Amino acid sequence: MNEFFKSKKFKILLGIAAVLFGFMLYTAMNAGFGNILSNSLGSVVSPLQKLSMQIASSANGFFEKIIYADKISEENETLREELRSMREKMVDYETYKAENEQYRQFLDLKKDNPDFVFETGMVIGRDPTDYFYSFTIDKGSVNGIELYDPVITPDGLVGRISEVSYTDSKVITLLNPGIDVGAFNDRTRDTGIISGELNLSKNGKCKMSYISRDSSASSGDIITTSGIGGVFPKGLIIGTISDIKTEAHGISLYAEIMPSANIAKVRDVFVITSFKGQNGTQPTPGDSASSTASSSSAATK
Amino acid sequence: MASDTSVFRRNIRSILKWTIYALLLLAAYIAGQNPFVLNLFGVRPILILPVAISVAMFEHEFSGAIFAAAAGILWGISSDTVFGYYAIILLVLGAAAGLICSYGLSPNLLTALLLSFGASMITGLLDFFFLYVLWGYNGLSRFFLTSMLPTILVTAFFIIPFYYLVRLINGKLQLPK
Repeated sequence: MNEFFKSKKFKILLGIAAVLFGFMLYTAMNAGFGNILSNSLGSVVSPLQKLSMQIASSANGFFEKIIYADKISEENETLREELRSMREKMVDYETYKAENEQYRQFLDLKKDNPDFVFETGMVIGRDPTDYFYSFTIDKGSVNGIELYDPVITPDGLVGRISEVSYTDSKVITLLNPGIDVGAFNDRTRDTGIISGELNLSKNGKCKMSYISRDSSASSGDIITTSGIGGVFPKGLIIGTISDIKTEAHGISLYAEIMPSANIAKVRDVFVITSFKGQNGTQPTPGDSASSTASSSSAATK
Repeated sequence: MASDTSVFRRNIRSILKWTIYALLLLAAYIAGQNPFVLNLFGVRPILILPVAISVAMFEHEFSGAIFAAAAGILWGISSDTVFGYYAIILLVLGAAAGLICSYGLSPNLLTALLLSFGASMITGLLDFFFLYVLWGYNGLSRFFLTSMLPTILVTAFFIIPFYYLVRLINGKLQLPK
C-alpha cells in the first residue's frame, strides 16, 4: 500500500483534491451563485430531472388510483356523510363566508398585489440528505430568477431562492434553520421571526420566535409576512399557529407554525421576481408596469 | 497488426465500461433526486454513494477515486452545501474503498456492505458536524437519531443491488491482462 502513496497516481489525486478545494473556496466566496462547472452540469441534468419528475409524478398518480381504490371509495362515503353534516351547519354560513373572504384576500395575491411579478417553476429535484425539504426548480438566471427571490404557492409562502444557476435554482424552505422571515400575527399584531427548527421540521412545522410574553397569540392565529427587510413582500400567508410555548430562557414566547403550503410535497411554485419595496427600495411605477407586462404569461393568479 | 487490433478492442471495452458506469451514476442521481422513487416511509437513500463505492471496489484506488469524485460533483449540484464538499469526501472514500479491496479485503458482498456502511456513516457524521453541530442548533442528538441515522442505514443497504450490477459490468467488460 505504501507504493501507492509514493506513486504518481497518488500525486494526481492530491492535485484533483486541491482543484476541488479551490472550487469549494470559490463557491464559498461567491455564496448563492454556481460556478462554471455546476452551471454546466446543471444545464445537462436539469432536463433529465424534469423528465424523471414528470414520468414519476404521472405514474404515481396512476398507481395511487388503483392501489387506493377501496380507500377512495371509503373516503367518498365519509365525505358524503360530512357533506350532510355541513348542510346542517349552514346557519353559520355567513360567518364562514366572511372568514373565507378574509382568506381569499390573502390568497388572491395577484389581484391584491399588482406590483408582484411572477415566474412559474416546477420542482425537478429534492436532495435526499436535506431534511428541510429544500428543492431545485427548473428556472434559473436566464428566466430572471435572482438570489433571495421569495417562492410561494397559492396556499402561502414556501421559502426563498438560495442559489441560482443558468437553468435551475435551489430553494430553501421555511423549515430550514438558515432562513429568517419577518412575521406578523394578523389578530394580535405581534411581530416575530420565522425560521426552521431541527426537530419541528420532521413534522412539517417551523418556529416563530421573539413573541412578547404578554402576547395573547393562540392556536389558529394566521401568520403573514411583515415585509420588514425587503426580502419578502408584506402580507404573504405563512401559516397558522399550532402551539404557543415559552422559550427556555423564559424571556419571550415562541409559536410552532404549521405552514399553509404543503412544503414536503409541493410540485409547482411561483417565484416573485419583483415586488414593491423589494430590498428596501421602492421601484418606479414605470419599472413595475413594464416588468409586470413582460411576465404577464407567468402571472397566472 | 494483431497487437493493434488487441489495443483497439481493449480501448473499446474500456470506453464501453466507463460509459455504462457513467450512465448508472446518472440514473442513480436522477432516481435519488426524485421524491416519488424509493421513498421508504419518508426515508430516501443517497443512491450516488453506493454506486461510487461499488465501482471503486472493482476499479481500484485511482480510477475508483476519480469516479467517486465525479459522483461527488454531481451530488454537489443538488445539495445545499458548498460545491466541491461532497467531491472531496467521495474522492477520499473512493480511494479508501479501492485500496482496501486492492490490498486487504476481497471484493465480496460482505466487504461491500462494510464499506458502504462505513462510507455512509462517515459522510453522515461529516454532514452532521459541518452542517448542524457547527451552527449550534438545538436538539441535535434527537435529530441525528430520528432523521439522519435512518438515511445512513438505508443508504448503506442499497449497495446490494449496485454491488451485483457493477460486478456484472466489470466481469463482462474486464480488460484482458
